[in-house]
Amino acid sequence: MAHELRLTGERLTGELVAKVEELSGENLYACFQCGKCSAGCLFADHMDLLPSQVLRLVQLGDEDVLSAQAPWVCASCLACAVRCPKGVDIAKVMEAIRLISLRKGEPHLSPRALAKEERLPQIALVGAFRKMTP
Amino acid sequence: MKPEQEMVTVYIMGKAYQVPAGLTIMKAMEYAGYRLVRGVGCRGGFCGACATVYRLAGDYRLYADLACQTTVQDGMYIAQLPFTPGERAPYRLEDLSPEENPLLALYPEIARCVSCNTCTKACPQDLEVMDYIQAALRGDIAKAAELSFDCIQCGLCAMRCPAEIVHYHVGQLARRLYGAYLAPRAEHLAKRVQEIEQGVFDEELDRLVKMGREELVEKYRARDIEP
Amino acid sequence: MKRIPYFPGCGLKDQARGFELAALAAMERLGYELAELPRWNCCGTVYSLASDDLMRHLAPIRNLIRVQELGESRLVTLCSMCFGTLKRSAQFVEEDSERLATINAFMDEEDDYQGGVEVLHLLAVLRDEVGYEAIEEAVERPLEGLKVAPYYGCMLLRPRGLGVDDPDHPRVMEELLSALGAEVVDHPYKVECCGSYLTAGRADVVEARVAAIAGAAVQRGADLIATSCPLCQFNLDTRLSQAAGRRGTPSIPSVYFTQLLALALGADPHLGEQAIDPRPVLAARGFLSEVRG
Ligand code: SF4
Ligand code: SF4
Ligand code: SF4
Ligand code: SF4
Ligand code: FES
Repeated sequence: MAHELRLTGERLTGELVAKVEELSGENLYACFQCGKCSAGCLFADHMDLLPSQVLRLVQLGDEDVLSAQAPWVCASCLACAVRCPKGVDIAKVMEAIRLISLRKGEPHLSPRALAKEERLPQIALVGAFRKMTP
Repeated sequence: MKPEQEMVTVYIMGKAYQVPAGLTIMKAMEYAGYRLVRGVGCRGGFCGACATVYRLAGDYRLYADLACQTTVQDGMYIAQLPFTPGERAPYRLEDLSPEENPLLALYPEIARCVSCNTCTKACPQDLEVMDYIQAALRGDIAKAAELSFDCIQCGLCAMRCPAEIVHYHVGQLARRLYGAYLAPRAEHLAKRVQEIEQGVFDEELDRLVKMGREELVEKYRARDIEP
Repeated sequence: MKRIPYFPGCGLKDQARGFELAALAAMERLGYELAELPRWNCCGTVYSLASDDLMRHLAPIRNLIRVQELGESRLVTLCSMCFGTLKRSAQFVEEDSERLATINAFMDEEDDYQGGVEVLHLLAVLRDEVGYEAIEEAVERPLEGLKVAPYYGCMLLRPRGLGVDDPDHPRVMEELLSALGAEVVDHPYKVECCGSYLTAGRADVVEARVAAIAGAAVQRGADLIATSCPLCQFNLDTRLSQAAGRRGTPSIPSVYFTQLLALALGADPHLGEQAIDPRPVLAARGFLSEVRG
């Protein structure tokens, strides 16, 4: 995702930051962009934005982050959460971004289409539907 | 109606009507002038056509019940749900294998159940609806069939489910699978069918066919009745 | 016979029956009855990471109420995902009484959840309650010469403080496998995610993950990988078997840790559900002469 960073005071105090902070319960500005989360994320090479970049965009109040694919590739493995030196749980930030979209009613997975293909364990379906269907 | 009859006020689709106390919701609606074309069937609590939701004055809860079985109360707010949209998954029973959890394969949305139990609370048949969905999720067809046995497909569970599950189709498939694959075979039935095919009863049947009306009535009266 | 209330979870009643059956058989030999909750629902996985998503906690808390109804105060699970979800939800309501009050008010048909139910994973019960000494004593067929690579995945260990062991350097599976006489094959991927629920929709991502994990185990000479979760198992087994042909990825069977436990204790390990069959390597090492899966 090519990105032009536009920093405005309005954005920093804007709705996105407040919403993500509320949903995640995390202090977004604790992150000092060391990149440890991205270095340890096993799914980063399938993401359009690195986990630390996702966090950066949220810090900057940039709504483009809401259309990123990264949160939908995040497996909630919590590897980032245990290694962040600042105690930021990025997995919760990813969840917050997913929820902002899901709560608008936007599906990111089609249960019937999926189940037609093969037989999956319950955990896979329950987990994926909770993370990706509204 | 006699003038001294006790009347109650009910609100049907938001409009107030005075109706005699003691009527069912269905009769109250007809008393109020509704001519029910959809949303009515057996009038006996069996067909599931008359699903209705209501609230009572001063009560936050949304109740769900059958219009033909529920008595009106003063201050009741009523709306009928004559039809629940819900797609039955296409399948051929003989292509399914009970070992492969076809309930989950055909209705994967049951994996969206959050165990809120709202469906159970809505069910006019007092079924453990959540539990039959949960049984279906884990592939326990026998249990899903048993728990959903008395379902009359009224659709109230499906209207209330936050996971957008169509429970009654899941239960119906569970019962079909149970009947086709899991229920113990009735061996005496197979034996009897064989006997019929072999012509064991042909003679007796012939006699009945040729019997006169009176003799037939007499025989009918004298028949063995199972206790 | 000691009884512990036990939560199976959906997977163990379906594709992962061997996980449960082996555990029940093995625990019986150790003097424990895993007593299945009389009524339970899906644990509600994956644990919701949002601060306000109370509805997602109904499933786990309802299960904890079932434990409370029995007059019990703890619950053991076999599946790492169920363990993580139940344990974290218990903590989620424990740390904020308002959340609990809202959930209790919503579940008006149930008794209120009072809090205090302890969620355990079988690995912790084996370590802390049964004890490795007792296990060693009960071993009938030490798994000598069997090289096993433990695989923890995520929810057994993370987040820090809630898992069964240290999230960076866990020992619990290694210790158990050693007590069973197996040779532990350490590898750097044992705490790395298998791809989890991405297997629904993103099989490509999962295949890359399990190829790396299996590759590390094979490279270090492991015969088998030991798992504790039906989803990890599905990914490491079914997904790996699907990837193997295409990319020349290494192939190695995975089994549940309870199946190795059962095998060592002389109980039926209930093998046979795997896509990559573990029986040939077990037979080659001389472990499957009497017991057939
Ligand atoms: S590890 Fe923590 S501090 Fe470092 S970039 Fe990630 S979230 Fe920010
Ligand atoms: S939780 Fe998500 S962002 Fe964090 S390491 Fe795992 S996959 Fe990456
Ligand atoms: S299970 Fe659903 S459709 Fe069946 S009777 Fe109950 S509420 Fe009606
Ligand atoms: S209403 Fe829907 S989500 Fe709630 S318990 Fe019933 S099936 Fe599950
Ligand atoms: S009309 Fe048939 S159930 Fe009410």
